[in-house]
Amino acid sequence: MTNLEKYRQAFVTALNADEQKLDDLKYQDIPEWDSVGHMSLVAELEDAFDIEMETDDIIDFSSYQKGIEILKKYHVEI
Amino acid sequence: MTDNAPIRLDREGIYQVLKNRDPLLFVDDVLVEPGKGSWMERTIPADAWFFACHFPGDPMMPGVLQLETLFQTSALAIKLLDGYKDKTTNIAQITGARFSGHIRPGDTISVSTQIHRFRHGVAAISGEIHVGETLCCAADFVLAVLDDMPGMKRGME
Repeated sequence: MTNLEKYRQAFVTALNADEQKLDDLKYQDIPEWDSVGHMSLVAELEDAFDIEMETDDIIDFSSYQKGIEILKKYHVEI
Repeated sequence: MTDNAPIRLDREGIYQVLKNRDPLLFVDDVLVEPGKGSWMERTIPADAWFFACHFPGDPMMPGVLQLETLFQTSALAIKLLDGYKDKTTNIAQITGARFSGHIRPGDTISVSTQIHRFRHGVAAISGEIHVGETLCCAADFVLAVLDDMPGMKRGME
């Protein structure tokens, strides 16, 4: 599985998000991406990429696209 | 309290960590493995308040109270972690629930819950209630500790 596939799968697993609509997805765009869903998403990504995200990054993770940018800090290229 | 050793809690011990009280307290004498899971056997009193109204002449424990039993039992496995005793667990999500057997007055239920992941204040949990060999209730759900979610917009508050 590529990093992109892992990244997208995390959104589907944690948020039950429609994979066809991920590219423009933002925090709270869908009911599932609330504060609890957000933490589930972070945990999925940490498991998928074997990383531990810092609190500031968890808070800044405001969209699908922003997440790609943040993961670069952890040497994960999507 | 440690993260590893199983702990047995009687009603007095439960009062120290859970805010629930009768008639909405459904746990007693629970074996807890902090951060991992919890187990309980409990006989449902024949005169429990809900049997008279659910249903007259055909008493059975309501499904919603079976779920609450799972929530309370599993919450103990979080609240016995170091630093969590005074934090509140909220039910945040039920991802699946199945009911396949009735719980009748005087039945002894066996409750087991397992915490699959607890990170950033979000616990993914599954639980089951059996009467004898019969599976009565199985559920997958999420408990959230809002105190562990600093900086997030807290829609649940």
